[in-house]
Amino acid sequence: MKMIEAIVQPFKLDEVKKALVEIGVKGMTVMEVQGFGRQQGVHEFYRGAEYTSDFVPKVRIEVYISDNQVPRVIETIRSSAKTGSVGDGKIFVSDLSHVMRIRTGETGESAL
Amino acid sequence: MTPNNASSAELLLGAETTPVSALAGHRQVLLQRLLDGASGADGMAALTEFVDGLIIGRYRNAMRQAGEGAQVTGAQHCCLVALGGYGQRELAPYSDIDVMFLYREKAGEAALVFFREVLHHLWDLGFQVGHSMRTIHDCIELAEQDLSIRTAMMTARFLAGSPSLFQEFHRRYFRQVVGHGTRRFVEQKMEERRREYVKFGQTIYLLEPNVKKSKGGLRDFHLLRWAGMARFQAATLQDLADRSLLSRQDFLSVTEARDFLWRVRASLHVKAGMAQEILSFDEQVRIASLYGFKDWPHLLAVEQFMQQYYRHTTGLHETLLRFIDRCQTVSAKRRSSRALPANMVDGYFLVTGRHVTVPSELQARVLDSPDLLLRLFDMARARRLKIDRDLVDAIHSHMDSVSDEAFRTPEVSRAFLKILAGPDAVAGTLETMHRAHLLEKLIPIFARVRGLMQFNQYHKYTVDEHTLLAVAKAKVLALESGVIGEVYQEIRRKDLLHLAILLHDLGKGRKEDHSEVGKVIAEETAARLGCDEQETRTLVFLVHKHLLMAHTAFRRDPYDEKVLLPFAKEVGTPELLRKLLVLTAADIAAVGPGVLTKWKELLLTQLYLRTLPTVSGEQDKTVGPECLKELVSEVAREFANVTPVRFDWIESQLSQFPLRYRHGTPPKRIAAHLAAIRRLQAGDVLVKETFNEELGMCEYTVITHDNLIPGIFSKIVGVMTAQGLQILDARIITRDDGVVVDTFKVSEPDYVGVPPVERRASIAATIVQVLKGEEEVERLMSPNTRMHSVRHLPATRHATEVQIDNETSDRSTIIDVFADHTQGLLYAITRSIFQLGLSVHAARISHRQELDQMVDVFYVMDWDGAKIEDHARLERIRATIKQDIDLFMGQPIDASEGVSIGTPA
Repeated sequence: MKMIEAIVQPFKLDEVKKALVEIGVKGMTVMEVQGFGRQQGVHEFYRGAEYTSDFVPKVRIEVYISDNQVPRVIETIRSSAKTGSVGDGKIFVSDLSHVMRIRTGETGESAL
Repeated sequence: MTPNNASSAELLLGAETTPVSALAGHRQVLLQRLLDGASGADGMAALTEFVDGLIIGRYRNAMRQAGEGAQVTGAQHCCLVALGGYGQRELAPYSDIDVMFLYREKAGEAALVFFREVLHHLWDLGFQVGHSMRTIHDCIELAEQDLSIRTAMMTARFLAGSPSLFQEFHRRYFRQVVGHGTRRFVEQKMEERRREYVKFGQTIYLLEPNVKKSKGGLRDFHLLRWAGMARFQAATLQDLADRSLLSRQDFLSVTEARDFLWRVRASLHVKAGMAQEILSFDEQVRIASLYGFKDWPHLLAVEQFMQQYYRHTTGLHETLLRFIDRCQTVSAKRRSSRALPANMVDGYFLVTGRHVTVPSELQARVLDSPDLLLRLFDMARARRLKIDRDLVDAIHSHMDSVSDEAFRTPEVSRAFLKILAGPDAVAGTLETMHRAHLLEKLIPIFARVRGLMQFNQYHKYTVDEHTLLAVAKAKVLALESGVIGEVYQEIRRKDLLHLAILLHDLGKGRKEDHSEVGKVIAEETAARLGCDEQETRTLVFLVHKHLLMAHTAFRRDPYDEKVLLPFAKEVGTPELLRKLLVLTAADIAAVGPGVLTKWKELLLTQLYLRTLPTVSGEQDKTVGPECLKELVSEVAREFANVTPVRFDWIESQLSQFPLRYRHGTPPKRIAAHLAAIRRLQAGDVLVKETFNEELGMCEYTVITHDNLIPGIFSKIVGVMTAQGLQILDARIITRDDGVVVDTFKVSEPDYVGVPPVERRASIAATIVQVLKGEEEVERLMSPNTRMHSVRHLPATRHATEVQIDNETSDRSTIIDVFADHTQGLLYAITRSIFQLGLSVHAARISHRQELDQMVDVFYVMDWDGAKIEDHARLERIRATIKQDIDLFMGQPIDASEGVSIGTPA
């Protein structure tokens, strides 16, 4: 089992969600986050004062899936979240050692 | 106690039924009775009676089993007392059972035994029991220390044991505790309740209220009763009503609200199997159908139910506030009238300290005059005065008899807009006007959304509360540091902004899209208030498009021109963009606490900052004073190679240019311009042309004086168009001293690579000739001029948009044009502007090649150098330009557009 964590552009959320649902991903967790990567912060000019925000707003998506879904999910996120410019985000994959569904107590893949 | 109680208990305790199952049965029966239409009071009394039976039976049992001596003790020196809600016979199915064991010191050990018997039994039945063992002395001492104990014992009721002991307690308690320091007691109790409001919702209009503790909940009713008991020794509401301490109307509204809340609460308890007091979304749906509400096409059953809920809780809460006022008034009024001199304002309004009222002899006059009423509210707003609650109530009850039409006068509209303009206390004033039912006289649709809930997981407040809160939030945002706050400060017509916020959601509760309904409402309201064309357009746009910015910011890429441009085009002007930003942020903030996150603010701000340059035609990057010095020395360095000039001359020249010039122009170019300006004689025209290798286009800079000939800009554009040049970018600058520096970036469709020098020189020469009046543009335009031959309409033509912005600049009127790029179009526009008797003072022309669209911003004045202020003329200008563009594009003019030209709203 794997946890896929993707940081993507906020305006890409709908598209990513739709694409993931289409390939059968059953659930996801979404968070409003701010941060910076290579894109650095935003610099805009406003009435003479440079308006800087060190952090750029992004959306963080988490999905928990079985191992065989990984390549498909990664590709789907990549293709749906891509605009081609700096700041498109990143995808992280990590191992998931244990899962339990609170209501039923099921564990392992059936709890995903 | 009545023998009845005992028998009913024994009846139920007998045979197969266990007390536990009997209790469960009783809870169900209670609910069923309520559903069948029994009053809440009857239902609760029945349950109370049943529980009484259980407890009294148990106490008697214990006495029977005890020895003879103990029996005497139990009958003479102890008694069992019901407290709190139980004492009042108001048991909801899973209420706590609050009992007190009252004893005399001499009762000794036996008291404890009896009490344990009763208590353990109650525990076994699964009740939540609040219990205490006290002597009369304990009671009085504790009551003085603890407010909730004090109020719990105010509703004490005898259950079993020694009646004389209870009577003694009751007499002493009321004499020594309840009747003492009543004013302070009421104040403290109210203070305690206010803390509860903070915790359980500052507004009545919570979407998931706590039926007991939220504002307008049952606790308000309890408080009213406690205050009445303490202050007026009235045991019941009926008593208060009989003694005219509570008006007939208030009495009815309170009892109805109480009964309604009791029913709701009983259903909540039975369903949850515990003392559940929160009326969640799920429960609202369930209870609405339980009590027979039916879905209508445009209003769900649950929405009707909640509207009723809010009506009751609002009534209850307002009555409470009035009553508490009454409990305190006598002294407060006496005190204030002694300390503060009253003074008459405006001949009608009596101001005392921070309060304002209308003397009773003048009240009829004021209530009947919409004009005076509005003046009252505006005066109170401006001076931060509180309008006397009785007066607000009087207005409320009088409003039904005044027609909406009476409010449709210019004076009233003016006063209303003045209130909306603020800048202070706008939201508070509007809230009071809403409470007085005055707001719906000005905006009749407001009556419909009173307490209208929005049944979704997202909103936390009802529509009316949400819109009023949004007005308040705009002000809150203004006080915060950050872009949104600054933008709010800059907004000129705050009245229009506030009005738009007030209207933005009023289209809710109908089948159609609420933005579309809102659009109509905005049009109607604008007409009612006598807004002019431009005000109307602003208002209608903001209401109709109130979701546009949120949708664009949260779902679209702000770095994508394809997103930015259509958005900029819809918004059109910086002033509208500012208003839309604040409206959007305030709207989101008023959805519920914590909904407007920094993250969302950031996205909105980002979109705002990226759109601003497009709609204002300015690259808003500014060079501060230090940078000016830096720029001066850089320009001086450029000069040094040719002819050295003085720093202060450069500085004085530079300061004549607008900021956007200083920023966006390379020092080398500036030096060239300044050198040309130095040479410039009166009546001279200098044209400098260069070829920009990098961009593959020619640049022409024309330097002259603006008094040379009218329509310089239009004429230059004409020459270029006649010569078949495509203008991709133009920057028109008129300095304060009248020096014109116009720069054009053009491409030459007929030449590949660098156009020959002769060609460029001939164009430059023609420009000079035309500007000197030696040649005419019209003569240059031969029938085969390129503008007509290549003109083709793109298959997916965008609608042309012409907008006038008279708010952004103090000196000029700004015309924004969004159109498809077509060869020669710019000339058509500039000629149109010229023929309208306007001169272009500054302009920013940009052609978005990728989209094949033009975004042109013109800063214009009339020929006397004045801004155009006449609304009819502004509308004529807008319509004419649009008409000329459409004519040029070969598109028939839209019929509806033709009509709207002649009919100002």
